[in-house]
Amino acid sequence: MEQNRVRYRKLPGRRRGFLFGSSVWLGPDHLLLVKSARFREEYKRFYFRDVQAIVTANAPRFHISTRAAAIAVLWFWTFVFANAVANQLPRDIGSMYRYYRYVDWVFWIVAGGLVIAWVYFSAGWSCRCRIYTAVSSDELPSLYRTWTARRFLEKVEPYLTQAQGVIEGDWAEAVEDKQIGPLPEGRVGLAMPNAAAPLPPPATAAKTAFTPASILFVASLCLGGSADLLALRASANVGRWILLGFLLLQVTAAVAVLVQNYLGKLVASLRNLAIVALASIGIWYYAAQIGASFAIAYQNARSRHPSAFPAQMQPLGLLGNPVSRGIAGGIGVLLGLAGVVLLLRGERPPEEKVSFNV
Amino acid sequence: MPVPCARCNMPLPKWELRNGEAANCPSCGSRNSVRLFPAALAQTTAAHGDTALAGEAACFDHPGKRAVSACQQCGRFVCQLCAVEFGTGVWCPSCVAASSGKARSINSDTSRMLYDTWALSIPLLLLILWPLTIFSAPAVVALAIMKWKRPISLVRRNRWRFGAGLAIALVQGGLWCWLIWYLVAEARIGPKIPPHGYSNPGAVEYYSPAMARPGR
Repeated sequence: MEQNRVRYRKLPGRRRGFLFGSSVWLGPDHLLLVKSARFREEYKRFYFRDVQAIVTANAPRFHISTRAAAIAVLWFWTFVFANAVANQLPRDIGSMYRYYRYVDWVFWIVAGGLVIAWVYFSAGWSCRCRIYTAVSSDELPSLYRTWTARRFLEKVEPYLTQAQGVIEGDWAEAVEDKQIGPLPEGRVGLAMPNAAAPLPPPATAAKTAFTPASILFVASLCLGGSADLLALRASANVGRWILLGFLLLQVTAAVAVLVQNYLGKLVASLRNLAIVALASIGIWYYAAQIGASFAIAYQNARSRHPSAFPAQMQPLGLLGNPVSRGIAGGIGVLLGLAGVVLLLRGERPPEEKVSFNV
Repeated sequence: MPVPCARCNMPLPKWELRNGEAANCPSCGSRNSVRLFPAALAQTTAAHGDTALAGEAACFDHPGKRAVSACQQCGRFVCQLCAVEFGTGVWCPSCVAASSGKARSINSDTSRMLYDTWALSIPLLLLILWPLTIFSAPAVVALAIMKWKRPISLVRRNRWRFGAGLAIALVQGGLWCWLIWYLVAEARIGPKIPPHGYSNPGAVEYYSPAMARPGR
């Protein structure tokens, strides 16, 4: 177990993204900025005695949080449920049916209101907040609404004041010849005429695009996609097993590509292709099932005599469907062609950074 | 550069800052709210260290420099340049680099892999490609057992994700074991219910055209 574990208190503001998130926590003598990428967290500490300034600037921030997405999903399912109920009501029910006719209108008005509110707050009530020390200038991504930034400052300011005191007099005049935050990259400060030149970046091991895993991955995409398209006229059983076999190969090769990139042997572009391929496989698989389920649900909701089609609900049955196989094949061929281009192109040399010396 | 704009990083003009804590950026036009603290006005001078005179304690790494303190870990004398102050103690650069003993607390974590999130997400995400759970279930069980005692997030305090991931992986593994056992047993014994029409002679008789013929 960890010894002397620091207890942190949550501060106002949290950015909840689908992949990336951020929050700020209060420690005994520092602020902890946590940036998370789902499976990994990165930390940065700002000690109270080192904080020079916290600046908040009004700026539009159109961020779709997971909470907003959850509200949208809730709205959608409520909408589907209400419509299904309304369509099942007998037409001769009288006044009650009259009210259900307006269900759609109510839902669309609510949706419009939610979207307008999101746009209004994103455009007019959002901000960027930065924290400055002598050696760093960092954005606090969790503070992207003005009211959250205000609450954050109200909580944090007493601790900073307690550690540093307050500035007496006209600080605007006093700060004129001071440097807030670090010097811009490549710029040498006037106060340090003999400052050492920045060290050159450390040499990194050469990355290549051609490894057995990357070639297998691109080949599995090309061959799998082509085989799916060529087998469209084959029986559902044959097509299904061709599809599943190549999917397994593609997933395995994509994981190998990710591992090789993590080990520093493979270029980043093929890693991105592997991520896109894995995401596409997942989205395609769910879209095929959800699409069919929705079609059946919609048919049942519209029908006076609902009946399910169990054969169509089976996932493996959906995989044998020529349309879903064709889509999978098309995606595979497109990604495979992209992979061929990336393999041939290799890794471009990094662009040289422009620096200014004053 | 006095105070930079938080949006475009251009310096905010002095006349804007004189208006109080709010200043409009002339470059991007955004309204900045500035909270400045005394650390911004402090003089930053590079530590040099005084020259050690005869009979004075000298720094371990810089024999010509006067020692200002002793390392809390190894006891070496350190000059002003070498002294690493953290909290209430002073350490030498070697102990900080080695991160041994009491100096371990100085090298605070800058990142952590969230193994508990891995353990929960893998079995859930692989439900999308459920045939792969045959590989992921034992892998997640091994991961959860091996990494159970590893430090989790700095700001989280419990390990429920490990427990939930382990439980889901065990259920998946159990279902796979049952399926494999069932398929093997069926392959050995053969189908329990023989094909329709052979085991139920009554049904054959009922659907037989001869039986259905009127007058019989």
